[in-house]
Amino acid sequence: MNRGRGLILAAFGASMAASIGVTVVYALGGQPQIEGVLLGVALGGIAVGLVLFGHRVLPGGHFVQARDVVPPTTQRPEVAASFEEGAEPIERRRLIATAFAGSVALLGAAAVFPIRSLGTRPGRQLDHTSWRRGLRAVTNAGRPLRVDGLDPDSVVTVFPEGHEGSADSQTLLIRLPGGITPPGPRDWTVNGVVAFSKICTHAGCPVGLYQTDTQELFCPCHQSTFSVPEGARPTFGPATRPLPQLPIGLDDDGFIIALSDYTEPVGPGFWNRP
Amino acid sequence: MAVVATVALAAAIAGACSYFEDPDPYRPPASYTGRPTAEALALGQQLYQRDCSFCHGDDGRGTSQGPDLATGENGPALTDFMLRTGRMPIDAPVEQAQAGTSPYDSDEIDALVAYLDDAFDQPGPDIPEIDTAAGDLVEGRAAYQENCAACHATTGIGGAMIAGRDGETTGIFIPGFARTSPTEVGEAARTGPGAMPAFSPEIIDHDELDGLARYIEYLKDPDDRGGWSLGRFGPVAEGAAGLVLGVGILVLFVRWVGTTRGQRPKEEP
Repeated sequence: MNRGRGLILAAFGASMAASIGVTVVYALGGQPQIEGVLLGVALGGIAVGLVLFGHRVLPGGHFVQARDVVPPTTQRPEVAASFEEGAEPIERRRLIATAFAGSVALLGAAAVFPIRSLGTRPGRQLDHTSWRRGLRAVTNAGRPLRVDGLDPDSVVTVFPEGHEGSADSQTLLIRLPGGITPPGPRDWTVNGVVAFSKICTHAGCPVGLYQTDTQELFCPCHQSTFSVPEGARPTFGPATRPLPQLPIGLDDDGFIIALSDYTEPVGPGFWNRP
Repeated sequence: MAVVATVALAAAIAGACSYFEDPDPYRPPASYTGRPTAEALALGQQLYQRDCSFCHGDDGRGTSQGPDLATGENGPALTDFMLRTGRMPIDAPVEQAQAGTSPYDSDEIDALVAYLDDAFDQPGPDIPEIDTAAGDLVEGRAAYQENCAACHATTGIGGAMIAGRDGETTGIFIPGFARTSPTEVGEAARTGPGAMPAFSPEIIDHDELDGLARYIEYLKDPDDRGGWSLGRFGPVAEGAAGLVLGVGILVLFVRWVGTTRGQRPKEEP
């Protein structure tokens, strides 16, 4: 029994040490692998301690109770004594109970610290992107584009010049074939080329799949489908808002530029934008 | 000493010149160059009238059964792609054209490509010359992930796309690259067959296209770092394997938790 007690205390002790370790590693700047291992030890220590307690300290064996026998009043002290006996391991093991409470409390305390990692308040950041009036639309490699360089039925992901790879500014330039009227205000498009945000209005996935025969954009995450000739109106799936359209024009050298930022926030809804 | 220095200087200058030399961005097409022979055109016309004109029309302007071949991206690259991958001729015009075995031999395909371009004055691009050895694998991977991976899957196994319109759900099949040659990759990228968009040289330039074709060759037999590719289906297959293995281990653990030491359940007599 003593060996069991030692193991249980060791398990809870390891959990407490690991919880303190997580806090220390986090405070020193953090290292995900080490933090993960320590968190695993902190949780696993509690689990192993509880299981060992159940196995080694609590009374074992099969207990058979006859169903319909109501013990006479004279047997009461006996029943009470039997109950006391069952409760005894828990009452007598104060140290184990304290160790258990301590490991749970320390793990809870360690979990509070990462709240700091949630970062600063976003402010108005969600309402605008890096697009500005006059910024050229460039590929991820930084190449500006001319309308002539885009065949009908072509699609290319562009970013504002100088902000290549900017996640919230990713935009799809699509050249619609001749017979289709481009959506949106007439001065927001150039020769059948239209620009829509690539971020799904449902959950923020990149809407990367374009079908040229139906002019539909398709989101791979939840199958939201947007009809480009109808202003990227959602026609299928969970998205409810159309993809925002970026007003585009040409600069003096014939390259495609933005005429302004998006006129509404891109991507999925957030707290004050359902 | 002076000789060595002169030779080294000359080599350095030569190297610098080749470095700054503007590489010709446009290359001539590979299998279809210049004027085709009269015999090839005659063979092409014969095959066209026999197998194609029923849907595409005698004049190539299309019918209710098949599209116009004289406009859009139609040209040697698209014709060669559709014929060489066995997508055309198709049995029923309502189907999505799917890859298969071509009924034509290589000369017959060349003849049809030449005849269509000659007879209908097609505006689309020529067959691109792809040189996978000259392509850069890393650059190709970047181009693949940016332009191809969304539909053809990161691992190039293809997939499916469903599209709903007014409550009706339809689906199209997106092919993988297991049987696609580098030239076919180039042809498809430049012309966008079927529902696929077209990628002009401004979007994917000639060097990137070489790299892209090389990366797609690599994807046919990639270096599976995890050791177990699970068909390269990605998260669904990996999640299923993780669930079966992980939950199996958990079940064993739960059984250990529920077993009292020295009191394994026995059959009572």
